[in-house]
Amino acid sequence: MNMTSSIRATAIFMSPAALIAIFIVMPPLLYVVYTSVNGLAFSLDLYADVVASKLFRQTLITTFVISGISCFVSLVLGFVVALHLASQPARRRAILLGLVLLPLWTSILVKCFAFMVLLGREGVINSILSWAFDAHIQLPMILNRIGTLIGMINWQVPLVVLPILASLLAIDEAVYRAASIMGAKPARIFWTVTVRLSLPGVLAGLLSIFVMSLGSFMVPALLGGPKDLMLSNLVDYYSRQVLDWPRASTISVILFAISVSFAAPLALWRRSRRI
Amino acid sequence: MTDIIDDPLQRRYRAVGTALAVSVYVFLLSPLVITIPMAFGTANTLTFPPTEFSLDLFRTFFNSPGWVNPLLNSIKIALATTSLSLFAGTLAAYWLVRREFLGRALITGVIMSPLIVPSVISGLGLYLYFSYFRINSSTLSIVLGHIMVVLPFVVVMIMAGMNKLDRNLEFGAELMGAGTIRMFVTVVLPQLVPSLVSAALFAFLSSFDEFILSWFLSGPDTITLPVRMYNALNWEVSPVIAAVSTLMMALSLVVCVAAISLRKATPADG
Amino acid sequence: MKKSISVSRRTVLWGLTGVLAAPAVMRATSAMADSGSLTFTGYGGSYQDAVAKAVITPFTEETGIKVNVVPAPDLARVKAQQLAGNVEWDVFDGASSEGATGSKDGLWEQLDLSSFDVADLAVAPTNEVVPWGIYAGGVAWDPTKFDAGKHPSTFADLFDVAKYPGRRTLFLNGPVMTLEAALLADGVSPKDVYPLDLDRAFKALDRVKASIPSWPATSTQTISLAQKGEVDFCCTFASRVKATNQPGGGAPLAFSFEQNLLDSEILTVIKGGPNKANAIKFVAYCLRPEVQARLNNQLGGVPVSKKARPMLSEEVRKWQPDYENPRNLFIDPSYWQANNAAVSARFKEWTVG
Repeated sequence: MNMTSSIRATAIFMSPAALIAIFIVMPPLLYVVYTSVNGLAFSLDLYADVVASKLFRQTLITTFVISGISCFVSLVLGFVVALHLASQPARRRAILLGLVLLPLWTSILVKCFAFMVLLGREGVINSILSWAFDAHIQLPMILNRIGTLIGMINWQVPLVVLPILASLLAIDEAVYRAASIMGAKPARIFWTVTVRLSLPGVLAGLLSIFVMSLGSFMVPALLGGPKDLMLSNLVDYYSRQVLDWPRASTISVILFAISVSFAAPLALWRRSRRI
Repeated sequence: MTDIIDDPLQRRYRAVGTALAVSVYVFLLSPLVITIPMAFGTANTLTFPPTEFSLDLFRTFFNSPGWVNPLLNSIKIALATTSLSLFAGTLAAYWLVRREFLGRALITGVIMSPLIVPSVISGLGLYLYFSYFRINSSTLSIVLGHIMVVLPFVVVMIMAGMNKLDRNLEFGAELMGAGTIRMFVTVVLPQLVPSLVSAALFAFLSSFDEFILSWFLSGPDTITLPVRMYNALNWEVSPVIAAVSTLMMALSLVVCVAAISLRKATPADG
Repeated sequence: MKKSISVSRRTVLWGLTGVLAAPAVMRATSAMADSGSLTFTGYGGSYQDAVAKAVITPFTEETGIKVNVVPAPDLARVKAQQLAGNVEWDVFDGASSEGATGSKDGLWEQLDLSSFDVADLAVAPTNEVVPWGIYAGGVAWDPTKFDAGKHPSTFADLFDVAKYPGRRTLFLNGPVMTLEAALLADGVSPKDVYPLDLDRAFKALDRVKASIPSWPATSTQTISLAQKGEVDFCCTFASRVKATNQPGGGAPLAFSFEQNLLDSEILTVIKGGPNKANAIKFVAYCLRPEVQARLNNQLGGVPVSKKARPMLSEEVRKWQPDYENPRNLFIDPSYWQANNAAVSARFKEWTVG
C-alpha cells in the first residue's frame, strides 16, 4: 500500500474516534485543568492551598484507606472465587462465571438500594439476627465505614476475578503434575505454583480495581457515613454546595494525577507483556 | 486444574475452598435477590418480606409518566450511544490492532482516558463545555457524554475479538485486490459478529445504567431512569424503587445471559 | 510536511465551527422566544405534590402558562448555567440562606416590588428575594417507639445523649440551622444567637457527633431515615411530618413545637432565564392570599401572606408554630449571606474530622 492511500485509510478508520477524542473527551479535562490554574494567569496557588487544607488531607487519607482495604479484601475473595472457577468443568464454569458477572452488570444504584434494605438498622440481616437471638439487634452496618467497604467490595470482586481466572487457566497442567510427581505437598504446590504463576493476573486485577475505586462516588455517598468522604465526593461538594469550581477543579486534577500514577505502570506492564 | 493428585488432604483443601467460594457467591448475589420480593409487595413503605404479593408497584411504575418518560429517555439514549460508539469503536479498534500510524499512542491514550478519569470530573467538565455550546440538557449532550464513557470499553472488547481473528484471510483478500474498506466489510466484520454483539450489549447496558454524567447533563425533559431513581432515593419515600431495581436487574440478566452464551466458556482477559 | 499540518489544522478548525455551531444556532433560536412555559425548581416528595396541586395546576389553568418542574434546586447549577450564558430555569425555590447567597453571587433578577402587596407579607422581601412561606424546623420521632417523656422535644434535649441515647440526625447537610440549633441547645438565648459563636457551636456539636450516622441531603431524607428506623430522632420540618400523618405518607412521625427554628421559604427569578415575564407572573401568583391559603392547607405550612392566615383549615392550624414562644428563633439570612462560604468550609472539615 502506498503512503497517501494509507493516510487516507487511516483517516477513514480513525476519524470517528478521533472526532470523539478531540471534541468530547479532551475539552472537559482541559477545562478542568485550565480552571485549576486560574486560566492563563497560570497560578499554582490553589494547589498549595488545597494540599495544605485539613479537609483535603483527611479526604485523601480516607480515600486511600477505603480503596486499600476494599481492594485487599476483594483480592482475597476474588482469588477464592477464581480458584473455585478454575477447578470446575468448562460448562459449569461458564454458568458460575455468569453469576459472578451479573452483579458487575447491575447498576450500582440498584445494589446500593439493596444494601440499604439488607443491612439497615431494621434491615433484613438485623431482623434475622433479632429473630434468631430473640433480642432487638440493631447492628450498624450502613451509613458507616462497614457499609462503604461492603458496597465497594461487592463491585470489585467480579472485576478482580476475571484476570486472576485467566492467569490460572493459563497455567500449564504439566507444572502441577511435575510438582506432584516430585513430591510437593498441596500447600506447597499452592504457594509455589498457583500463587506465583497467577501473580500477573493478580497484579493486573489489583491495580485496575484500585484505580477505579479511587474515583468512587456513589457507594460512599449512599452507604457511607459523614466520615466516609472520598475525593470524588469532595469534588462534588466543592462544585455543587460551595460553588467553588477552581477548588473542585484543582482536587479533580490531583485525583486524576493519582489515578494516572497507579494506572500508568499497569498500562506499561501490559504493553510489555503483549510484546 | 488436574484431578491426578487426589489425596484426603487435597480433598479437604478443596472442600474449604468450595465453601469459601460459595459464601462469596452468596455475598455477590444477595443484594440482587433481595429486591425482587419487595418489588411484588403492596405495602406503602418498603418492608421485607412483604406481607402480600401483587403487581401494584409495576402498575404504578408503568402508569406514571414520571417514571415511564425517564425509561423511554434511557432506552433512546442507550440505543443512540450503542450505535454511535459501536460505529466509531469498531473502525478504530480494527485500525489500532492492525496498523501503526503517526499519533497512534496519543489517540489511544485519549480514547482510553475515561477509564481512569473519575466520572465526577468528566461530568463537571462536560456540563460546562456543553453549556457553552448551548446543547446541555438535550438528549444529544447525554448521548455524547455516554459515548465518551462507553467508547473505551467497546474499543477494548473489539480489539480483544480482533486479536483472535485469522490475519491470513485479510492478507488473502488484499492479495486478491480488495481495497481496505471492502476487505474490512466483507472479511473482518463477519468474523467479528460475536464481539460486536457483546460490545453492543455492554454498550447498551453501560449507557442505560450510567448515572453521574447523566446527573450533570440531564435537563427537565431528559431525565434518565437512573437519575430518576437517585432522585427517588433522595427526595421521596417510594416503594416503586424496588420495582425499578427489579426491572433494571432483569435487563442486566438478559444481557448477561446473552453475552455468556455468545462467549461460551472463554473468559475475557480483563 | 509543514504544509500538511497547517492544512489539517484549518480543516479541524472548520470542523469545530461547523459541527458545534449548528446545534448552538438551533438551540439559540428555540430559547429566544418567551414561550408559554416556565421552569420551576422544586424539592420533590410531599412538598412537591402539594405545590403542584395547589399552585402549579391552577396557575396553568388561569394563565395557560405551562410549568416544568425540575426536582433539584441547586445553586451550583444555577451558577453554572449563568457562567455558560445558557440559563434554563426561571424560578428558584429555596431556603432564605440560599436566596441570600445567590444575591451575593448576583444570580437573581431584580424585581419590581410595586407589583406585589408588600404590606401583606409577614416577612419583608428584598428587591431580589421574595419569601412565600414560613417553615418550622424541630425535633421529630416515631411515636410508636417513644412514649411521651421518652423522647427529646427541644434542641437541648436532642443534644443530651446521656438522657436520650440513640442515633439522631440534625438539619440538612450544612451549617445553616445546624449551628443555630447547637447554640440554642448549649443554652444561648435566641436573641443572642447572632452573630454565631462558632467555637461554642462546634463544641456543642462535638457532644453529639458520635450519635450522628448521616447528614441528610434533602428534607425527604430526614423523614425517611427516621421512618426506616435508621435513626431514632431527627431534626426535620413540620410540614414534612404532617405529610407522614396523611394517607400514603408511610409510618407516621411526631413533631415537637416546644422549640423551633423558623425560616422563610423564598422564590427568586433567575437572572437571564428564558421566560422572565412568565416567571414574574408566577411569583406574583404565588403570593396571592388565596393561593397561599390553598397551598398551606395542602402542605400544612405557614403562609407568608397575612390575609391568608384566617383562611387556614382547623387541621392545618394544629401544625402552626407558636410565634410568641420565646425559645423559638428566626434564621437570619443576612448572617449567612456574609459568612456562608467560610462557615460551610469549617463545618465540612468538622464532619469528616
